[in-house]
Amino acid sequence: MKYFFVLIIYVFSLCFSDIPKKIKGNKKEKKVYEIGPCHEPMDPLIVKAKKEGMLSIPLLSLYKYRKLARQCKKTGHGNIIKEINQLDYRRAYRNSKTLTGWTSNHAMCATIVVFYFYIGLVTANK
Amino acid sequence: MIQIYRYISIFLTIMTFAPAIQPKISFELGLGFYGPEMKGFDDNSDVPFPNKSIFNRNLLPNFSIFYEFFHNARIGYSSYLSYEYGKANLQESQPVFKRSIRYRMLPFETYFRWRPRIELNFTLAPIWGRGRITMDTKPNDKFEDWNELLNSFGDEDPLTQLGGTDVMLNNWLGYSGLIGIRYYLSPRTAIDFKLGFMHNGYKKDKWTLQRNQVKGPDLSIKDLPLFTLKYNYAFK
Repeated sequence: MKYFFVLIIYVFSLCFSDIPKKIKGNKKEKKVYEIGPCHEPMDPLIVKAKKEGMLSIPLLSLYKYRKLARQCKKTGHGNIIKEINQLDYRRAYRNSKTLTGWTSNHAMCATIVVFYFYIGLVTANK
Repeated sequence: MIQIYRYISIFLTIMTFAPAIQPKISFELGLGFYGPEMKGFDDNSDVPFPNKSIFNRNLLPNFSIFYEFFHNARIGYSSYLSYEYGKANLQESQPVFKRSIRYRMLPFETYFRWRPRIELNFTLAPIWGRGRITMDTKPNDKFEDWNELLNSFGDEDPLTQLGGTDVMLNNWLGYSGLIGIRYYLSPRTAIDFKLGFMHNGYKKDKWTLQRNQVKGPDLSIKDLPLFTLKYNYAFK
């Protein structure tokens, strides 16, 4: 009988125990820690990439850079990596925004050749 | 002496800015799609060839390497491969039959960035096409097997000499035009979709086997629309 009472008390203690409720946090809220390769003082590789772009990273250091970039994202500095990438995109966009010199003639030739091929294909099938 | 210093200073200036410029060398892996008619294999009443499928008829796995020599232009090398492998049901034996068509291109590509991450590119390329047919036959059945294969392609003259490794080869020239759109996933990686055509000057009478000119399979690959999806990685 005493075992029965012990069991009931144990079951009741489990059932009515005060379980701490999970507080649902905002998923978009990013945790920012103090330590990370993108936090001051920044890692020299990140400093170089921030200054000259991601493409300036030598191939041999690329693995290390990717690792650092992942850490940066984890420590809430994902924006810095985005800015680094944007630097490269903007530079490439500035350099090759328009077809310069003879390249426009080449592009026009390629377009005309492809266009006429498909026109020919459609008219030949009809 | 002053001239040497001038060269050194120019070299150092170039090297200083070199890391910050766009990558010059890029490598691409892709999958192309085209629709040739291989009547010589598919409609061959004498020799049943390995069954045709989308993998050995329409898909063209390919790779390319490019060098950017101008900030709007690249030059490179591309290789598209169509491959077939299986057993040919000949009268004497069932030899392993391999057929490959390789379209080697020297693409000359110009491009511009429409948006910071989107690029439009235009390619013209000469083609050096090469067809290759091999059969792993037994030494005793070699003449019968090759003659049966050639007869099925319409060649009437029987072969008189064969070597240790017998390969049917055909080379031809052609050209290609492609227009593409490239989306940069990161500054180094991109996905590239190209649409265009290729023109091949293939002639079925120009095959060679052990220096003998023989007739090959009838292939309709003269003018073909071509689509390709590529993954691009830019090196330094």
